[in-house]
Amino acid sequence: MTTRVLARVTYLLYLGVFLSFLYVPLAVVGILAFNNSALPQFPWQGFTLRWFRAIAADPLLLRAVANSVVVGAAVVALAAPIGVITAFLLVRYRFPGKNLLYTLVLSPLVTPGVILGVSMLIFFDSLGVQAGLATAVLGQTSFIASFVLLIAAARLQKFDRSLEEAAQDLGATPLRAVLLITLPFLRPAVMAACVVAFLLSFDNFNTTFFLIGNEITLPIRIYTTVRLELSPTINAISVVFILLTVTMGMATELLRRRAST
Amino acid sequence: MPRRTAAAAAVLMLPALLWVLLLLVIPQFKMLDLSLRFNLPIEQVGTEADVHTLVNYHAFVTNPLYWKVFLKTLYSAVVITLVSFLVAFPVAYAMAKLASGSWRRRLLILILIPFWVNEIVRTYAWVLILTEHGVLNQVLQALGLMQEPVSHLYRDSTVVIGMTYAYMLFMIFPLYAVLESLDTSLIEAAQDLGAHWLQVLRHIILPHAIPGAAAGGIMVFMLSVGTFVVPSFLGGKGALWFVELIYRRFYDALNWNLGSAFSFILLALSMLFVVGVLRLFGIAVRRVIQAS
Amino acid sequence: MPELDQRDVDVELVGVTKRYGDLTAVAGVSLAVHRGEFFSILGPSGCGKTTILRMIAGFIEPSEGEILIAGKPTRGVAPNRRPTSLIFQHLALFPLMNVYDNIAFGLRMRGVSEGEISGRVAAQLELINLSGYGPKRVDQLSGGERQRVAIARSLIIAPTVLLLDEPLGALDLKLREHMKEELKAIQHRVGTTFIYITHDQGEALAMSDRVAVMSRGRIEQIGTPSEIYEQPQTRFVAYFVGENNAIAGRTAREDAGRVVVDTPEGRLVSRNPQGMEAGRSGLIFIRPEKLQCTAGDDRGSGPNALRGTLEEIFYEGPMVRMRVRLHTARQVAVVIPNLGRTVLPAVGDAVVVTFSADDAYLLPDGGA
Ligand SMILES: Nc1ncnc2c1ncn2[C@@H]1O[C@H](COP(=O)(O)OP(=O)(O)OP(=O)(O)O)[C@@H](O)[C@H]1O
Ligand SMILES: [Mg+2]
Repeated sequence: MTTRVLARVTYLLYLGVFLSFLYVPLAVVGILAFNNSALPQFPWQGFTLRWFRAIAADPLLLRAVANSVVVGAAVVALAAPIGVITAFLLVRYRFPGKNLLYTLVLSPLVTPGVILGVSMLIFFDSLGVQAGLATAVLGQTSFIASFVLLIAAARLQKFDRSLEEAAQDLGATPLRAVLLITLPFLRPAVMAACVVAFLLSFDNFNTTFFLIGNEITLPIRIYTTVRLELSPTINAISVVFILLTVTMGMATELLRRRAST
Repeated sequence: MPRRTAAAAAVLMLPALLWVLLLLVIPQFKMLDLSLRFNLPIEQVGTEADVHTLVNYHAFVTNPLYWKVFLKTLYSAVVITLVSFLVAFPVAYAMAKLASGSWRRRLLILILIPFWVNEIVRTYAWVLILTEHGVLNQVLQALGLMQEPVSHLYRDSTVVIGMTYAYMLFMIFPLYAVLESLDTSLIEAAQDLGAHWLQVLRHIILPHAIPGAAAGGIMVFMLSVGTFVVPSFLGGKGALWFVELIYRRFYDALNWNLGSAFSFILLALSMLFVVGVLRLFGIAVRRVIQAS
Repeated sequence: MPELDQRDVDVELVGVTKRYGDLTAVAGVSLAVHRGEFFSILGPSGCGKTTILRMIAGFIEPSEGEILIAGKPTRGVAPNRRPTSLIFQHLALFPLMNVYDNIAFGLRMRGVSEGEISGRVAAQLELINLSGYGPKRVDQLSGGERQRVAIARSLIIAPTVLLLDEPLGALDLKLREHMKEELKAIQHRVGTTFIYITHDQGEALAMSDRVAVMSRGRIEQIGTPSEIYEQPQTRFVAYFVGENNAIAGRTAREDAGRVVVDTPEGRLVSRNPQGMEAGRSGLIFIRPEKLQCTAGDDRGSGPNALRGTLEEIFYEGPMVRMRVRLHTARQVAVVIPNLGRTVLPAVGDAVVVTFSADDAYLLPDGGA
């Protein structure tokens, strides 16, 4: 064997080991969700769907899922307009303090989620606001809006301003020109941003954990269940969770790809 | 600026200001303020006794439990970041430069899928592997390498492995992005001029990859110092992490002032890290953040 | 608009200036464009052409001066309220709309009923010879078709003036020639005032009723194409429009519109459009096609004869271009029509280059 072939084989081997390292743990979770054993461990005791049926029978889990959906929708409804409007502001206008604002709106991307959660917990508490779903929504919005901003700004930068001017020239008011020409152009990016926002919200633990109060979302519920006991039901709900987030992830990839053309 | 533009800018400014002030600046100032006060019984809050003090930061410095956990967290995060880079780089490079069209897509998807799986689920997977009756011990026993099963959980090293597993993917994508933008003909030109592959790596590829490495490094570091789930699942009581200290001040010990001080220290650390990385590699903040 | 001012002026610029910080993009421009006129603004890149057009369209306000459209001052009037329409350099067709919706856009903004719109759009499509193209997406169109759609989209709102910013710039040479004629024909049919910007003198001369030549934010000269070409008022125009030979000299005397100039090539006689007095230095300009070139070294009896050597011949098909080195080492270009029967001097021959005093003109040396 030449060294070239040897190098190739080593490389492929490395990739294989890496991918196994990624997938084996997930496979363990998945397989044990179908194992007919009271504990999530081997040996294999036969195939069953009873852990999935147990999800449906767990009112707390269902409530957690419902809450996650509600919170996600609310975060999208808040973060999408905030992010898109701020993208307009930062891409289109020059004003004093613009760089400071830029740094501030992007800072949540490099701030540990715990800090966002803790600081808002303190703030809302000082206002006498009870922690709950609403505070979780605000907490998540604080950093998810930054993601929306980035996606929208990238697309907006590609927009040819003369299209808007052409619309004005043909009689559209500046606002109508934005509504009829610019927003349709932004639409794929905004859609991608909405899915990303929902996914990030659905997935979020660190910030939510401090702001959720006595309520639960799906990640919070899974966390507390794991802390309490190990049960195959957790595996089952994990499988569902994986399917949901991976589907959403795929959707964002597709939308993003479309938005970048 | 003409008047109508100024008016439009002012209207657009409103949501941004609400966002920045109500969700970021004021809460973080509140947190800083709280960290600079005594932990008083509720009826004394706001009275004359409620003055500014450094007592919480003093406690952090003088109590070895606190700063040792802090240093361990910091040290581990740095290690995880470096390990992530070493592990991720060959993968990112393979995706960007070695794989051809369809394989690149497949590889990308294969790596994206676990990336979309929640950190809690990914950490839970390691719990199943590493517990006393977990997969690892069963394999070891089956191979005759181990007689009595022992739990691998609740050790610092386990926590570090869990974090590396959970966060290294955040290193791959920024690296992939910069490596993909590297003109392959540069590599070929260098080889053509007689450079050994190590020299190509050192002089062509690594310099080009720096913005991606910086972006990925910031993400991995920040997630590692900020994680609660991983040490909570894998570390338990045996391996305490800094965020757990924060959590306990808020929910068990009910000393929000000390908790705020810890939080602020963590915030300062991550900001310092970001600024430090950017200084070190001399890159504009925006470019790095946008690469991630 | 019946009660309009004298001579039916559609667009008038009075001392218009536009500054960007220290840079003066447009400096005190005054001009008047008449109704139905094809008016071109010609100048090199960066001289302020687009800035003028965008001020007329209303996207930027002048720093000083006034713009009147159909006799009315426009300061503070937003672009959507001006009776102008701009064809952008890259056309700015709306990419997410089809041809029909692009053309209908202006009427929709004016609240015209869909029923009426469909009739008018069909008429416009016919005008630009694109009947039936309504449902096509704009990215399916060829360059020339896109061009015509952009024109239709603007014309449908019946603007008082149509502003065109180098609309042919993005087209290839062949298509450009074709669109030149097409544009002119459309203008004939609709009779709308066109203000047309270009840095291509061929376009400006061929299409325009009048041309304004600009340099560094200022108007150098306004006139018909033949005035611009035959009677440049400034050195800039003489150099920028067409090709010119220049010979420096000092005026000896002037009389009856003629001037006698002492040059290193000897005494030359030319027109004196600026009425330069004796004793001033200036440049005599003479176009290559106005020169004759004959073999030999006999200066003959005419006043304007330059001796030299034929250095190079370029065969250009309809034309033959020659480069002659005069005895002062100065080069002049001579262009003669390729009539097929003329016997050309050979390279290296001694030649005499002559011209008529009526074809040459003297402009002062100083200034631009
Ligand atoms: N918004 C602006 N800010 C600053 N300077 C500007 C701005 N717009 C134009 N300029 C400057 O004004 C001058 C005139 O620009 P303009 O676009 O009018 O030139 P032009 O004649 O149309 O050139 P071209 O033929 O290249 O299109 C240029 O020097 C340009 O750099
Ligand atoms: Mg221009």
